[in-house]
Amino acid sequence: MLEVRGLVKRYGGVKAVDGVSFRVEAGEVVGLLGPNGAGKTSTVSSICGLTRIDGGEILIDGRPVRGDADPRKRLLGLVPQELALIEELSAERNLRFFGSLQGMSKPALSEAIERSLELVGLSARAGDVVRTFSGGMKRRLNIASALLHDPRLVILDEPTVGVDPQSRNAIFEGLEKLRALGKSLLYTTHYMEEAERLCDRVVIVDHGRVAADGDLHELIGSLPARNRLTVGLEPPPQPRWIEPLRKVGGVTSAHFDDGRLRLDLEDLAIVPGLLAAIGEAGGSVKSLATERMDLQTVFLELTGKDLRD
Amino acid sequence: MITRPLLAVVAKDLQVFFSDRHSVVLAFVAPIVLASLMATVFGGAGTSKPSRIEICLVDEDESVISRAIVDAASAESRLRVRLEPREAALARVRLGESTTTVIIPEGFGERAADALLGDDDPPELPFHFDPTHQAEVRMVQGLLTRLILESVAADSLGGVGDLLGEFETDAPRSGSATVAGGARAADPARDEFLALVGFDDAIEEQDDADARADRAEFTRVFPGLADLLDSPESPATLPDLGPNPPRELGSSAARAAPKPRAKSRGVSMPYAPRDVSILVGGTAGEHQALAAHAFAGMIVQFVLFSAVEWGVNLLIERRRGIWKRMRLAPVSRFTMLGGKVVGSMMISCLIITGVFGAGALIFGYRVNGSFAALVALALAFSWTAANLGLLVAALGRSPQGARSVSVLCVLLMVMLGGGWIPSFLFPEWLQTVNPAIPTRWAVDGFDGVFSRGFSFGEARPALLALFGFGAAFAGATALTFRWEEPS
Repeated sequence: MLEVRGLVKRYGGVKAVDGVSFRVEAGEVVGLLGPNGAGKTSTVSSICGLTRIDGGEILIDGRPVRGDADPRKRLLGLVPQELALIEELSAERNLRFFGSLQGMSKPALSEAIERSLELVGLSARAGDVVRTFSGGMKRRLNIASALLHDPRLVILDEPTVGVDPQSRNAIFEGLEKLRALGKSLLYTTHYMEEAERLCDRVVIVDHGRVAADGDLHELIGSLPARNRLTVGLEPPPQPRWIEPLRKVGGVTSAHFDDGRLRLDLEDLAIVPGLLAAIGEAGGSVKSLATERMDLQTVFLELTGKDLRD
Repeated sequence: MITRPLLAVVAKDLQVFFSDRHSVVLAFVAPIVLASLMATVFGGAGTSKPSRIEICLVDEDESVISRAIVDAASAESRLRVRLEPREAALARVRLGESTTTVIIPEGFGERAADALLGDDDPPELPFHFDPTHQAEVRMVQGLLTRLILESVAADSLGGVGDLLGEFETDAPRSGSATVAGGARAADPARDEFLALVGFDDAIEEQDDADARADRAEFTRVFPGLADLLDSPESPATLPDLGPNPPRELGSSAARAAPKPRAKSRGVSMPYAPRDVSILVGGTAGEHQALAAHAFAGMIVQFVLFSAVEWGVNLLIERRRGIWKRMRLAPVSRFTMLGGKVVGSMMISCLIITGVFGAGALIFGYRVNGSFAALVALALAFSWTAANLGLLVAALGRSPQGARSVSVLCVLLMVMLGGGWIPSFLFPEWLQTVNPAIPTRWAVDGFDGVFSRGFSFGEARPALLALFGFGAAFAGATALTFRWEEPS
């Protein structure tokens, strides 16, 4: 559905996107993840033809989009990061305007408005002026506006920024319906849990380059361990304890971090044996925490920084 | 107790104010620019060449006096004189190319000379003018009155100085004035003449109160002359009037060698000015024309404000991401911006229709020219304004900044286009740039169709100018509009 090949975009002397390549297959949901300034929005703008690219190629359904009026642009729907709505008009008037720009006929548009509003749960507020909507409702209408012309690929640029949990759930339900309808989604976000919940595949970008590209299981599987055990000790852990613990089967790494012992494990089943070994060495356990390796960990491993930095 | 929070509020507001560079610019630069222009207009700069008012003279008399009037007017630094045949001269006034046309009728010189000495009724001198240019016309009348008096007096009496000499008296100065033998000079015509040329203070036989009243009456009719007489260039000596040099009134030389009085009848105004409005409908027509002119000026200003706001809205749409979404639609740039232009034009046309319509209902003015020309002018000015708005969107970086700068530009355009003060008051260099300002053409065009009966053809220059300005703004927009989303 979408193929990005060696995309380059410069702003003055700064290379915002530096050879990014990835694909979104039909019916696939792909997460585009990266910290601020990684090049996500520049990539999205380039795909949508909103900015001139300095190198590479972007193919929509196998062919590039040529010019502003290329009908192939109808294959795309964009949910911008901003609330791209006309606050002075009603929800229905907004949708009618954006649908008209897509060249939709009046009956088809009326039907599409009804369908889109229902998808995002705003049918009852169709006639209300957008200015009176809550932030979450505006976000949902923002999504509905991109779906009117029934695009095959929907690009969502941080669609849940500043949204309360209830509205976020409503948005997710809508997106899952879209996935069920076989739409391709390209989803940029800061939120790992969103990507984990929604995406079939994740492309991680950093400094304008692709740092990783794969499905969630592949990426987490690429990590040396699946679980992490953090142990607070009394007295503080001794350096001489590290080497014996590393030799325990199933422990992939062991190190001190902020006065605590941190162990990466393939399986949590070995935790009792590890605690016994610590006790034998003279350590007394004060606190214990386990966590499953996730996309956040993957991101941290790949980029050396937190996704929300 | 309240000092700290009060200071905090003050400090915050000042920080916010000074952090908005455009507001600061508008607050300081706008008044400086506008006030400097006003100061320049009203002579503050002191170095500009004086402004000149264009008039047409039609010399149907071709006498020595009429030729002298034409020569004197041509030499007058405040006038730009065109000598034209009657029809061409009248057409120029109607088309707004000249302020007024003065027709010197056949026999004027001879009759004016007789009238000066009271031998004949003063001949009429018609001033054909557009009432929307009242101020310029009054100034022209003031200037011409002086020139005509000089010319007629120079021809008939060898100069105003000699004429004045006729009024000199041998009688000792006292509260009771005498002439030619000690009798009281009960000659109002003479007194009027002396009063009007500003020497009433030298006529000691004239009662002071009467003189002031005479002069007040005269200057009411000819306000421009009062300015001339009161100016530093008009001391107690007359200007050079030709072969007979002026002399100081009341001087010992004048008193010592009085000329014999040639006639005892005194002098009268040598001509009677007659205002001829180029409009139909008499006084009511003039009032209506002035009302239509006032409405045209305001419409031009507020249509421009509306169009600028239209452009600012595009910047807001860009900031909100609406423009991004619009651009994702398979629509050409031409269509996208064309839609903006058409929308803005529709609003402008509504403003023009509504405001002119309300004015017509209240003040009763009507379209005296071509209705098609009015519609075309409304479209042409709307087109100009819409493209100006788009240019604002193209050049603006933020809605606030664009709005600030644009408001200043609109105010300048309206001012320089003659919307606030008559453009004849501008220095000459400003008058030369006046045709390069769209507002000038819009106001002139609307005046033409409402008050001066413009046909479609006569409105063509204004139409071409306005469509041309719009096209230029559109071209500049095409070159500078940022289609790229900012990084």
